[in-house]
Amino acid sequence: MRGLLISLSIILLSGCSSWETPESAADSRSVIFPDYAEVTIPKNIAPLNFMVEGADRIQASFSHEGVELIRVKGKEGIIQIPLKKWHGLLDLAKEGNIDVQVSVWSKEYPQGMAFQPFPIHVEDTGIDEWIAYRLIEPGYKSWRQIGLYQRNLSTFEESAIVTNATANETCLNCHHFPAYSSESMMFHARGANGGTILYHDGKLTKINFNEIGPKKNTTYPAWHPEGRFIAFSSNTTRQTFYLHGHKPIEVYDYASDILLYDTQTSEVITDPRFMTEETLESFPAWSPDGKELYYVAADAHKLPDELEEMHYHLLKVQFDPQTRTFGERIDTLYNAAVSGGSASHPRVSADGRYLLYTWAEYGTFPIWHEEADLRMIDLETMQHVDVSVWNDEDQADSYHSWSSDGRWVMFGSRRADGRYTHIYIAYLDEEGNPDKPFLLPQKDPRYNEWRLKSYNIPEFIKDKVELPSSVVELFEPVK
Amino acid sequence: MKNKVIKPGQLLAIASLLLFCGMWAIWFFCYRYFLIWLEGFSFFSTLPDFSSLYRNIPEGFPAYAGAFLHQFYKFPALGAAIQSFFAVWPVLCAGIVIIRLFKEPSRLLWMAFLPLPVFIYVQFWDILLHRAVIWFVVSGVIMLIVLIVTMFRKPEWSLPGLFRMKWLNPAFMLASVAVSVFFLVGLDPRNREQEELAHLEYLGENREWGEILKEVSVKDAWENEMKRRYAILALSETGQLTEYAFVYGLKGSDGFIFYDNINPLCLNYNALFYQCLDMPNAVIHQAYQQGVQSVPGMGFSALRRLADTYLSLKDYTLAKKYIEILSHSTCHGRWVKERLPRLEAIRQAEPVYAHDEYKATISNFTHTISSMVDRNPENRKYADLLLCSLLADEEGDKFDKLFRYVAQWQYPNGTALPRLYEEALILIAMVDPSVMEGFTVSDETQQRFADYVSLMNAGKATLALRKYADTYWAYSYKAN
Repeated sequence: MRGLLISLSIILLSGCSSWETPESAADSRSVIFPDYAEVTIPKNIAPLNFMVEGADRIQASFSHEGVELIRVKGKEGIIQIPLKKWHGLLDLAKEGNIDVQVSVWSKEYPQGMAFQPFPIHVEDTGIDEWIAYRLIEPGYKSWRQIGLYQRNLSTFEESAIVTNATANETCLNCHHFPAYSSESMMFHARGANGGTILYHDGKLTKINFNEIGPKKNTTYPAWHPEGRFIAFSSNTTRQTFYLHGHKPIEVYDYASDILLYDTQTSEVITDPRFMTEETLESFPAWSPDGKELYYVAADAHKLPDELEEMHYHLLKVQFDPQTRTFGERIDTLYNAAVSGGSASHPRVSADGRYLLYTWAEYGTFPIWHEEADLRMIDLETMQHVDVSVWNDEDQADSYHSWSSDGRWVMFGSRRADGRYTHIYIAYLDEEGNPDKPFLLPQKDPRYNEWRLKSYNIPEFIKDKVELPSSVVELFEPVK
Repeated sequence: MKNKVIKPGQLLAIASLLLFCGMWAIWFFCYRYFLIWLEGFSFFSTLPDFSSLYRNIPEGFPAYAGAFLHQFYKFPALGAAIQSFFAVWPVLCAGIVIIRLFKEPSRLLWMAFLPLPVFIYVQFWDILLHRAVIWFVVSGVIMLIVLIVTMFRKPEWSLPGLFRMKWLNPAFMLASVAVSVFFLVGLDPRNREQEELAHLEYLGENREWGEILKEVSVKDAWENEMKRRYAILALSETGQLTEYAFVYGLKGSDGFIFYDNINPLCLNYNALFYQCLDMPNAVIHQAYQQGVQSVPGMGFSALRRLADTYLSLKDYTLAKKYIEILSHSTCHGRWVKERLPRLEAIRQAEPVYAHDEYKATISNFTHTISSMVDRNPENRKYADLLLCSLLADEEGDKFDKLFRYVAQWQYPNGTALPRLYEEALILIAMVDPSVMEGFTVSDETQQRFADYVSLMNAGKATLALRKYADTYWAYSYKAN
């Protein structure tokens, strides 16, 4: 094996000239951005390009089992690893570590400083090739350019799934896919000619929920894994903007119910228990087998005055797809009245073992809550699992989704700057032990800092979405 | 003496040069602030996020090129030159085509001026410059094709004598330029208005409040809600609000800022207004909304304001983000350099977001400014804005209560009161005389009020309202 590595190192290192030797060596690691030290990554992730702030010239060598396999030199403190070489390295390092040794030349270290190497663990499991998300401005109230985008996790390819470029007054939101399929997709288009756009079985349709069933709008979706049903919450949402303090916005619901849409019969099915004014239900999520619906619910209060009294419980109800009915019993997984706080965004892992949700002190829109953190319940033991390694102490960690094999979690966090949501990915091993999350890799690591949009509702998908180009005609204003 | 014949190429060059100079003068002297505004509304950077965005908009590459050029509009002389160049270029290209294709081209150069009025007609509101770029490319490509083709064989087509009459060149060229100038400065009154509003925005950004009050006449303020708001802000900033608020047409508490208006001029005004009142969260909120209205989702003007606001809040991460983004544009080198020492100084600092246990929100103006008065009762500017908004809303009771509250700090021990407050107190005292307790209304105001009342009682309301048109009494009478 070692002989093979050495042979490969000769190939991978070929072409790397003028490698310098720094004059000094530090006994610590360099501070890199993003922080990729000691993270666990999937075997098919894009190069973890990084930077050292303040550095001028920079060198990084990537080794596996003591054999140096890649050398990368960079300017302005930036390391950009060649794509092919990186994937070659990942192939060799599966179930092992890559050791990254960084040397920098800067004003502080004009003769160069070699830092201690840091390890990156490469898992043998891959991650779903694509993710989908919306890009929006922070402090979102009005809009002009809104789009749903997709990104290949093995490369840096990003492309638009659909944008409102030809219909600026239309807002696009709340995209969802059944069971990670890129063959079906739904999203809302809000505006004069808007509606809920459904791409299913190769057909594009627009549904106006204000005209069918109980004539209620639909908001947060959860597409049943078998593809026939979509559960929606129907939310009447408002925003408040704070005059002082670091927290600029509070988003809350005046009312919310849960509806079920049958894509086969085009009917909206309601259950009177989820349609009351006294209780606000939101964020439906299916179990992987589609037999249970998870959601959150809170007692109604006078808003916005009693905003801090809004505490959402985490609940579960059985569902029978044959009869299209929900079970009698409603189980409480997290009782906010007993434990305090408020639960949002329940999502069950693909293997059905874990449920991840966002906890905040109160309310239903945790991304604007600095205290918001991810929490996880083991559905076998019904005990909370410590996932504090995924959370940032000072900034919000919120919307999350599971990979299709249940080993990877992707979530939005404001930890980078407190204002923009970025995507982080983290590993959960088979024993339920979470690993340190890592920031979505970018071709230029500074791109994470410079992007003027927030990532919203990141979702894993198995393949690239190809919507028919006629999709925009469904929501473009009638001329 | 031998007659010197001007070659067609020379004639075209002279005509183009004269046209360029003329157009430049119009753009520079008539629309100088609009050009500056265009720079603030646009955004360009070398970052990948920016270029990828333009792949997804219908205007595409021409708008991308336009955004690049708009950076230089920060310098209006350069902006005027670019605008003029875009107007001259189709003429120049058409002229070259004529020279290459026709016999006696000197007589036919008037045809080169055909595209000019058409282009100028759409130029002013081409705020992405994408149409200009398309004109530039199409004209250039046609000219190049003709140049290449005629390199091998010059056709020397001939047109009937009707097209080659001597007087056609000067007459048509002059007519074409005259029509174009009319299109640019005379046809659409919105062009002038946009320039005037952009000028006010420029003055506001540079805190030239006196100049704003010189620019905005009382009549303007009554007729144009943007001008009125700039005048009101200028009055507030110069401490004259309590003297002239109603003179300049303040009609209610919603007359200070714009609500639910996504016009970038209005959003920029709101951001500037809150900046003057030192309300950073409101500034940031408005700046984001303003940026969103620019085609790339951010404008230079909003970005600069965000960077400066986060600098003042000592929020290093976000200040650095916006400054770095601006450093990836073409014309912000000095701007960025000036801020780097301040940025470095807050690297380790804790951000200074004000704590508010009551969680005051940005909602209607009276509510928002009340929160500021509550926190800063000694601040004259906040108090005057709130007191004037209450007077504008005819909220006499609330005015009375608030005035008593803030007077502890601002008008202790019989300090002379501003004219509007005297007028309000003396009017409210007609219903509730106790409001005057602890305050002294000047003899002059008392005499004027007595005169006003006597005119009213004598049935001479028109005369009273004319004589005391700038008083709170007249405003209150008309409001009721």
